[in-house]
Amino acid sequence: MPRPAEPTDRAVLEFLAWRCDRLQTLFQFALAGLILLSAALNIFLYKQMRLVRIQIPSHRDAAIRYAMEFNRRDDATIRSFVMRLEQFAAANPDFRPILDQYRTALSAYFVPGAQKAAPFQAAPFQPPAGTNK
Amino acid sequence: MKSETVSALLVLLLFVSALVAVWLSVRWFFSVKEMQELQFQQARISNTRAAAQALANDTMQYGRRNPAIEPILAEFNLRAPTNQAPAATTPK
Repeated sequence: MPRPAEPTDRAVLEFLAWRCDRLQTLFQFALAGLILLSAALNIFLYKQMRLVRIQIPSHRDAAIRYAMEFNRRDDATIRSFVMRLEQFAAANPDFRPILDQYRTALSAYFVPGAQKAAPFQAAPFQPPAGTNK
Repeated sequence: MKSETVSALLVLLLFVSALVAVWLSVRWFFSVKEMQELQFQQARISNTRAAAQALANDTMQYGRRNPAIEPILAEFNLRAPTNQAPAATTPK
């Protein structure tokens, strides 16, 4: 049985050059695929960014209007209402539990330390889950 | 040689594309953050209004038991409920 001929150095080099070319082509295709993927990602990000940025001015205007209206009309009213109710609760301890329910939600409007000064100690208010800051 | 130039060009293109993606991501992140802050601000005001409204309603209910609170209710244009359901008015 005849033995297969040993590959010459030239044949080995040609084979390696062919493999190198193949690898380079594969690398270029992989790069092209990544570029396509990156371009798709860029298009997605651009559209999302535009979508949000288009909405921001109207939202900002609405938020400013809303806040200004609240500060101009409701804020002072709520503050004086809570203050009057605190004064009332100091003289009428049975009203304090009702007022204490809103101590967390309206904390900005309650006078600090008013609860301690009151003669009646209400049961500690349990805030709803997720409202603690 | 030509193949190497194409590879280098592709790598450069990918790098530029990645930079653009980072820039767009950062801008998107800050836009969404600003939007969330605006929504949070509105939600906080709404919650305060709702809490004040609920306090007013509870105070009106309390007014049925203790008429001593009537002057305060009158001062803020709130009326203690009669037999009907409590009125849903904000303190003015």
